[in-house]
Amino acid sequence: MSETAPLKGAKIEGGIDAVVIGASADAFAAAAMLARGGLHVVLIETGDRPQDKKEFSPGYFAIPGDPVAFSLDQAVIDALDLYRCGLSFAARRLETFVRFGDGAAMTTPGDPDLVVESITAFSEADAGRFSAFFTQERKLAQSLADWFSGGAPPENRPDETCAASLDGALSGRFSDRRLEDYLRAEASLGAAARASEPYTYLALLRRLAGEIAGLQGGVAVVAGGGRGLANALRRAAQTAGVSIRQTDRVKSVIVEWDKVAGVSFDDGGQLRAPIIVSALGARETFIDLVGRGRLDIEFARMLDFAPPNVASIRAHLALNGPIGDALVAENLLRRFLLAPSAHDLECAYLAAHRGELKQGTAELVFSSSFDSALAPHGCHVATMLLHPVPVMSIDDESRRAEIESLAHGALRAIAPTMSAEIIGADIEPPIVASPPTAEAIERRRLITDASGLEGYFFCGPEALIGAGISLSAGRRAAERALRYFRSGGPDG
Amino acid sequence: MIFAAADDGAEPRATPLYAAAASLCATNAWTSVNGWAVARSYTDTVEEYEAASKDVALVDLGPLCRYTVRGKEAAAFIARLTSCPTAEIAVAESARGLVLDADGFVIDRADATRLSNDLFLLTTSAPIDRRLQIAARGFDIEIANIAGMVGALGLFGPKARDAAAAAGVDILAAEATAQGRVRGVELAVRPVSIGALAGIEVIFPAEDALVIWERIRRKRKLPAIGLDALEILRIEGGVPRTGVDFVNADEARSPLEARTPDEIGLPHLAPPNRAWFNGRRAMKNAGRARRRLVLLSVDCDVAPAGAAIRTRAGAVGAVTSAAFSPKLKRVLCFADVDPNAALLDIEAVAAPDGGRVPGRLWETYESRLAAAFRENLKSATDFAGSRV
Repeated sequence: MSETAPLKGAKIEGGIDAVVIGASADAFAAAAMLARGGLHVVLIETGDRPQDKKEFSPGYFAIPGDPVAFSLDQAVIDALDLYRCGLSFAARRLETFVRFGDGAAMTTPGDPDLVVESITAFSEADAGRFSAFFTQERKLAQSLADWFSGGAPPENRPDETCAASLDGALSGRFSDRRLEDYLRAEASLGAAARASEPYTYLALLRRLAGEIAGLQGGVAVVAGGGRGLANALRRAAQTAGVSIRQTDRVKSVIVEWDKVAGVSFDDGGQLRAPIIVSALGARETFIDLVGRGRLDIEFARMLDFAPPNVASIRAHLALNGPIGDALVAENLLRRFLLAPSAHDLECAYLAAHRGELKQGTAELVFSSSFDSALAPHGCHVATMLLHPVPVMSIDDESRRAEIESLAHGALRAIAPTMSAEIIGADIEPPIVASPPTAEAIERRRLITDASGLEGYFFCGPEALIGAGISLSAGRRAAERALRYFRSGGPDG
Repeated sequence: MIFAAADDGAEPRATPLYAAAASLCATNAWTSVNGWAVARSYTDTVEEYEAASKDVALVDLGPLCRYTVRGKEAAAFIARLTSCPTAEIAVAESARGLVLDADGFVIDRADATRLSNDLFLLTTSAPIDRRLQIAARGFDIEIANIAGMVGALGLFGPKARDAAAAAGVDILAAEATAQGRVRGVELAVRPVSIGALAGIEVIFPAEDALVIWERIRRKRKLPAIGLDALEILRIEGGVPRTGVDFVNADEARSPLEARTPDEIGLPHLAPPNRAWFNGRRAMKNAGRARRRLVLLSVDCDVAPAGAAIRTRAGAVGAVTSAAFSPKLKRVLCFADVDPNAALLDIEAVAAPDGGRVPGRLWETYESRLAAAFRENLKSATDFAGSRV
């Protein structure tokens, strides 16, 4: 029977088939899928939990986390019947309003199949070229989608595509350079590498390969944001019979010979299980919970990689009145994208590497337009992702002021004639950017396959490719664990 | 106690015993091992071999790589880095094993001596500094590369202990390592071997190298033996040599070149049922051996290095190293062969014109250990497989 109870007492519990550690969406997805597979699953809810909405300025609320999703795993939604568990979208197939560095604007439709029409309106000369390019890239992206989500690499994987830089792939494609800027901005959001670096082109393909509940390549807003998705996953897990327990810390993973045998807690208690799935970070999963002494030297070394020194920062801005800018205000149920020129984006990356803040790209959603309870009537909450920024502490007041100023600048760039005043801001901690896609895929392969510990499965942040919630890592870990269980792994 | 393959360094460094060794080196034939100068032969290879086999001979062991590992986690660290069971050995005891990579392929041989509760001497035939650096992360230990800071003199042969005793440096208690100050010089003495040939190793500060050399040779003018004579002794003992009989896995150009412990005939040095060490899991999960290093006896007088090995089924492998054994009056050679080939009617293509000579498998102390180990492992597996 499902339960949610604090874990206490130094007791040793057996009869459990799998323990899932973590509080992320992937942890819940993995636990629910394992339970649906017939296993007795205990989920130890530890680590960063999705936060509730908070009032950051009187009458203005922010929902922490990503307001938009573009790569949710349809297989998880279907397998767990997440719609019945409360998953809903406030909007799907959002239009994207693109503001270029020179002030020009373009709107792309939510349905990627219709994108050519909007390009024709923007640059008639490029419509044909863009159409051919976009169609070809989407086809390629779909063929690589399974690989991006954790499947085997395609047999005919084009190595030159994997190694290409974004700039190299886009350069000279269109007579209007701003179309390159648009695609560059889309692919660069959340990415650590500059568009001129190798292996960055895959980021665009990964972006095009996204899937929202069967709407290939669409952008959606999950009702309730990250918290809404987490609640649906929690219900799915509880419905499937997952026992959810809360604790501050798992002390260690018990390894007997080469197989995991359970987890132990600070009070001496143990949960004995032949399968452990960890959704914590890779270092915590292996170095802290298992220990270097039980890991191969090369594997432990691989976990010591330095994270990128580039990040994204999400800011929530309180606007005290109507937007005013006619182009922006005509439809606030859109996603807004600031697409600077290649030079400006490059400069922003270089500044971020130096620890400085400079306007790069930005993604904006008026979250109060999708959930009117977030702002007083007639007012707005703008949720913005700024990228790239340095990895830094936001506890420093001067740094916060700089970020707020950058967010104000980005909002003014998107809506130059905005009449509303910004009366408050909430800054979330930086989100470390994703390494180049090919590198991230290789690292994911090594981390998920090479620990050598039987019965130990990983679906932490390093198993994700690119930015945004996808749930694929949790699904893949659950599938591997079920195969292991059914092949007699625990007893073999 | 085997040297790595010669590296033909242009300007090899002088070991602490170089000056002494050079004074005996009538042939002036030198090579480089790990960047240190090593005499290939001092006078005559066969005479040197005879001296070591029947009496006692000196070897400058300076070119071996030596590291001290100090700290409360030193035992756990070496047990992770190598397959030496350091957690199970007492102070003064030594253990031998292999250094493997994470894929279970052999990097080098290693032996570890426990000098005190939290101090170990780790000896390898080739440098593993980079690997030590990587592996040490997260362990409460200090590692020092002491090659060059200490001298090491080996005395090999049936009368090695007598010669050391005569020189006053045999401070061994039973068969364990001993440390102490002998007539003003700090020494560590430990039993070592080249295959089945036993000996002792005297380790001392580099600045005392010539003092020790003179003391040992004062009573008797003991001969020194060079790399060529050592090669004969090594092959007779069935001990494969890093870089010659197998490729260090860190230097292999592809996994096809790398070898597992079983493939080089040393499975007993890395038992998969021993407490955890690097590469054990991969080794345990590895399939059947892809190649096998075997020792063959070939009926000819000239060592057929590089020759093809044939059976009735055709060519099955090639010779990796060979030497003429004066004691056995035949050539012994290591050969990398197909493990599925029935090694009957072996022939080695020994002459440039394609002339073939008969050969057969040759058993050594090391190969007998390996065979016994494989048999034990098979029995254990059969027993485990018979569970209901």
